[in-house]
Amino acid sequence: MVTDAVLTPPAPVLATEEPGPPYYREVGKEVLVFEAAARAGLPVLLKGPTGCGKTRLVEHMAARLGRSLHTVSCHEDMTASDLLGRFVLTGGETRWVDGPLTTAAREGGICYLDEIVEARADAIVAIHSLTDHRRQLSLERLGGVTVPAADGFQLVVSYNPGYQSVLKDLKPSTRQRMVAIDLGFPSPEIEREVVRRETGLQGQPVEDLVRLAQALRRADAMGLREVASTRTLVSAATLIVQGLGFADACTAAIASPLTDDEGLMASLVALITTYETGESR
Amino acid sequence: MSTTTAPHPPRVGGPADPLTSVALLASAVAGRPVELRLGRRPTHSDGWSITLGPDAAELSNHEVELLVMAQASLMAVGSLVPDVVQLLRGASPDTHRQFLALELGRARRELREVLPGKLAMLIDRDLGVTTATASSRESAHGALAVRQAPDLPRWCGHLDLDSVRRRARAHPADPPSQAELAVSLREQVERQQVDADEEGERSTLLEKLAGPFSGPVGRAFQNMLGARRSEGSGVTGFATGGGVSRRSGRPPVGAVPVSALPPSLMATATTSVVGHVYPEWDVVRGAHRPAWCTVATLDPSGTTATAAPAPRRMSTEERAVARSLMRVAPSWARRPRSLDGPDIDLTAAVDLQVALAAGYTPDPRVHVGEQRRAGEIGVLVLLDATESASGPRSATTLFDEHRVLADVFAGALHSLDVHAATYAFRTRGRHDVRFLRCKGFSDRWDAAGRRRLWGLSPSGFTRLGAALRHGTAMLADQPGLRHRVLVVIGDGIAYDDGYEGGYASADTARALAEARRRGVACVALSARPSYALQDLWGVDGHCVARDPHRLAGEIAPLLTHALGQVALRAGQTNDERRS
Repeated sequence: MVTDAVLTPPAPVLATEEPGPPYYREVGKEVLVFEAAARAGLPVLLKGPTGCGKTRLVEHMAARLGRSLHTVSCHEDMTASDLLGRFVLTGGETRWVDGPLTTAAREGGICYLDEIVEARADAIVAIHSLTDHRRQLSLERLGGVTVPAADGFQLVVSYNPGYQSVLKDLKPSTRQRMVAIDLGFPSPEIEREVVRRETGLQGQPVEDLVRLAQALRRADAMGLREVASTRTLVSAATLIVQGLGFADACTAAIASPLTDDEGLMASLVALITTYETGESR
Repeated sequence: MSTTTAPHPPRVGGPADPLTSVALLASAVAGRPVELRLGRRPTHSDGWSITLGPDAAELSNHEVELLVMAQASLMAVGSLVPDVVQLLRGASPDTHRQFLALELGRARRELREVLPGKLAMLIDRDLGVTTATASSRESAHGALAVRQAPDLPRWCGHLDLDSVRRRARAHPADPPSQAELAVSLREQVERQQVDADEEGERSTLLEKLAGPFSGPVGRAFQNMLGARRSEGSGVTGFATGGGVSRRSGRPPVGAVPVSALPPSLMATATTSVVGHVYPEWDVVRGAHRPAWCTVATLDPSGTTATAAPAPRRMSTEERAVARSLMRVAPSWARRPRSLDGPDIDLTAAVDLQVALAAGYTPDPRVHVGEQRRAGEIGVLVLLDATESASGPRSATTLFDEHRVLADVFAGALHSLDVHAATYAFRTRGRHDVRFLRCKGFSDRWDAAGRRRLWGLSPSGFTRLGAALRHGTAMLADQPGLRHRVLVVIGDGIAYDDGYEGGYASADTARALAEARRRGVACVALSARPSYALQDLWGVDGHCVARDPHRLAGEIAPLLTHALGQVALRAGQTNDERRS
C-alpha cells in the first residue's frame, strides 16, 4: 500500500554489529529464571504472544551459556522421526541421521520446540522421557538404544496461549514437567530501547511507534486476533530507516499483517495517521 | 408482489458507517470497548459510551478524532464517576469547563504513553493547565474554587453530569437517540401514533442538520435521518416505500408476502422493517391456518435493563463449552500416516522402503486416513425474552440466568468461528412476533452485540411455533451449511394470546417436526427443569444447565443427538425418494 511517497535517502544507522550474544533486553526476571533452570537441567516453557521476544531470549541464553541451539518449528504434520532422527538412503546404503532432539541430547545443547501445541501428541511423546528424572531418550528405531542426556542438555518449548483455539491446548502432563516463564510485551521505555537498538531509528518516530502499539493493544477490535507485537514495530522502524514514510511503514508492517477485514483495515489506517506526529499535520 | 431487497437499516457501528474507525480510536484511548452513538445533546460521555451531538456534525475528520479521543481519555482516567459527579452538582458552567480542562490535563499526564502527540500538544497549548491534578476529586475541588473559566476549544466536548448519574443507576440512558428511534421500536408500544411532542423535537433536529456535511459525524446523522426524510411526512402504506419489504431471494416455505403488520410497528418505524408471515397449526381442525402469524426482525432499542457486564476475553466456561462443541457434528479431513484409508501416504511409503532396506521392521502406517474435524455447522440461538407464566418477579432472575447461558454459548460459538447468530424473541399476539437482533449471521460477536444482549428486558409472551418457523427459515436460508441447529434458550413454555395449553403444544410440536424435516435440528436449553420442557421437546431434545459451568457437559451430547436424528431422517427421506 505504498503511496506516491518518494523514498528518501536512508537515515544513518547507529552502530555496527557488536560481537557477543544476540541482543536481548530483559523485561522482568526471565533471564535469571532461565539460567537457573538451565544449570539444573530443567525444561522451560516460554509462554507469550507472538513477537514478544521468546525466540530471541532462547538465542541469547544459548550464546550466554555457551551451548549449541537446535530449533524446531512445530507443525501438525510433524512426526516423531522429525525430532528423533531417521534412516536415509545414500548411494544404496542406509545411514542413521540424528534429529535435532537427539543431537541436542548427545551434545548437551538446547533443543527449542517453537509453537509446540501445533504438533500432534504422538509426535512429541518422545520428550516425556527427557523431561523427567530419567533424562534419557529412547530410540526404538535403532533397536531400543537409549541416549542419556549429556550435561548441559535442556529442552525449551514455547507457545502462544492467547492465540490457540480450544482444540490446541498443552496437556497437563506435558505442562507440569516444565518451568514456565511468562513473557509479555515490554513496557514503553524498554520497547523504545529495543526498537532503537534493533534498527537504529531515533527520535520522534520511535515514540510514535511505541504509542501506536500501546493504543492498538488497548483497542477493542474482536477482529484483531493478535495485537501489534514488538516484532512488527521493529519491522516498521526498519522500513522507516530505509526511507519509507511513517504511515506507509506502519500500514505495511503492522496493520496489514493483522487483518484482512476491509473495515478494520480502514480503521487501523486512520488510527495510524492519528498517531503520526509529523510536520505535515 | 414484487421482490425487493430490504435496505439495510442505518445504525452506528455498521460496516458502511463513517464512525467505525473513530470507534476504534476511542477504545484504544479509553482502554476498553467504547460505543459511539448519535444524540441530541452536545457531545459528552457517560463514562461508558460517547454520545456525539449536533455540535460534532460540522467538524472535520481530524477534529472529530480529537473530540472522541478527549472524551475517551476522560473515560480512561475515571473522570466520569458518580462520586465525583456528585461533588459538581448544581455547579455553574464555568466550573464544568474548568473541571474538564483540569481532567484533560491530568489525562495528558497519566496517558502520556497512549495519547498521540497531536492531542498532547493541543492540551498543553490550548488548555493552559500548568500543574496536573492528582485525582478527579482534586480536579472537582479545584473547579469549584474557580469563578470564571474560559471557553473550551471545540474538540474538548462537554460534560453531562445527568448522563453519568443515569448510567450509574442503570436507568435508561439518555432519551433514545435518533439512531435508536430510527432502527427499532419502543419496547412498550401502546400508542399507535407518534407523539405530537416527539414529532416537534425531531423536526427541529432535522432543521439543524439540514446542511451538507463532509465530516464523519455529519454524514452519520444524515445517513440516519435520510431514510425518514426521503419518505416525506411519515409512513404511508403497507407493502410499499417506508413500510415493509420482503427480503430478496427464495421466500421461506410457509411465508407469504406481507400484507399486514400491526399498526404499532408501522407507525413508529421510520425505516424498513423486514417482516414475514407464517401459518399456524390448528390441532382442532387438523389443518394449518394460513398467513396467521407475523414475524418482524428488528434491532433492540437501547433500554438498559441491567448494566452490561465488563467486556472481557474468553472465560473458562466459554472455553469449556467450545471444547465440547468440537465433538459435535464432525466432518472428515485427511490424516496422513494411518493404518488404513483411501490413499497412500507417499512419505510414509518411502520411509517404509528405507526401513526395509535398513533391515528394520517397517512402520505399516502408510495410508492417508480420515480424521474428525468440526463440520460446517450453523447455529441460531433464540433467547426467550419474555415473562414466564409463573409471574414477573421470578421471571427477571430466570431471564438473567438464561441470558448468561446465551452469552456464554454465543462466546463459545464465536471462538470456534462457527456460523452463528443470536436473536432474542418475544410476542404479543399473533400479529406481533418480534425477533430482536443481538448478533446476525454476518455480524461479529463484539461489545456492541453483547450490549444489545444485556440491554434487553423481558416482556411479552412466547408464541413458540411462530418463532421456530421463522428461526428455521433463517437457518435454511444460510447457504453452504452441512448441519443446522436451532437452540432455544428459555423455559420452553409456549403461551400467548389465544395460544395456550393443548393448542400451543400441538403447534409447537408441529413446528418442530417441520423444522426437522427441513434438516434443522431443534433443541431447548433451560436453567430449570420443567414438565413442559419434557413434553414439548422430549427427554433427548432439551437439557438443563443451572449455570454456565454445567453447560459444557450438557450441550455436546444434546446437539450430537439432535443432529443425528436429523441426519437419520434425511437418510430415510432419501431412501423414500429413491424407492
